[in-house]
Amino acid sequence: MARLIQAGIETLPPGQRVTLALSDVQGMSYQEIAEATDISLGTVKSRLARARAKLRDYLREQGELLPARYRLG
Amino acid sequence: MRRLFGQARERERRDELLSAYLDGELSAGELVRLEAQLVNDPALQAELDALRQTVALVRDLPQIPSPRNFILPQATPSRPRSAPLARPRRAWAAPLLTAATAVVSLLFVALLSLDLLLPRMAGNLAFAPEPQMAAETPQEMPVEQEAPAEMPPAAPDEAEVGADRAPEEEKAISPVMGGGGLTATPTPLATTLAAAERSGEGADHWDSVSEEPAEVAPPPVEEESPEPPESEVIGAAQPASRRPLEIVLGLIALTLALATVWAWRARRRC
Repeated sequence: MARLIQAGIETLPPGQRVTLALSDVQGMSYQEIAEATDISLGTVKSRLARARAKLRDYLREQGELLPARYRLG
Repeated sequence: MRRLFGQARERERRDELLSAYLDGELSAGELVRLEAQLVNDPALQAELDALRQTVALVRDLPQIPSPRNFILPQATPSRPRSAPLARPRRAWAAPLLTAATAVVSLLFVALLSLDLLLPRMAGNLAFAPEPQMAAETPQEMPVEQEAPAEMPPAAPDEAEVGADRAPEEEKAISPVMGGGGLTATPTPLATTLAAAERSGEGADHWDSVSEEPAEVAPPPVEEESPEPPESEVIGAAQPASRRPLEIVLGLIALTLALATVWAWRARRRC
């Protein structure tokens, strides 16, 4: 399953991928991400939202590969 | 077209709100409005649940430790200060071990080659004059007849082989060098047998073959008999005495080779 999620993350554009990793993997706040990547707070918000939405859609497409309890509705 | 674009934009805006809601980054007004929509819109609630699950899956991914040089800032020195001292120590050890391995291996090979070549050379040198001696000085033949116990185990067989044809071929075999040990060794015993037959049956027949039948048997020359042939000493005793040295050299060469491999690997790791 980790491979599937990793593959989904790799489909994202670099900017969205970095923002997602800093937020959901590293646990950084929007403000910290904005400072670390030198982008505005609004861009962080939109990039993170797009990254999560794309990953959700990817996991929905690959839903049959996921265990039942991890399948998205 | 404009409608589709508007729907996509609306969906994007909705995802942005949901994402910020999950992170607690919404303003108070946005939060109240969204929670009101969530109560009235089950589809929006389902989208929120799916997004929450996606974030949970990403957060549960196994953490892979980054390489040290990847996470270190550029200003930080890449190694502690004691490390540069360790590197030169290994730096000269590897070439030195390589040279030592080469020297010991060469010695080992040279010694092995000597052991393999010397007995052959000594054998050629030792066997060469014997047939001539047998042909020229038949007086020495009884000497070897008296000391059969000191001869190597193979000698009697060779003597018998020689004895069968010795009376007829004595003169013909002696000068021939190609036969090596077979032509050299049997001659004395064969002559002795011939002498014994001569004493029993009569010397008339044998006088035609050998010119000095009477001198063959009587004079025993005892000074030369106890000494084994020089070829045996060179061919057998010396390699046996060098064998421990060869084993020790081989072991040292092997140990040095292993140490050299280890040293080069350690040097590359630095």
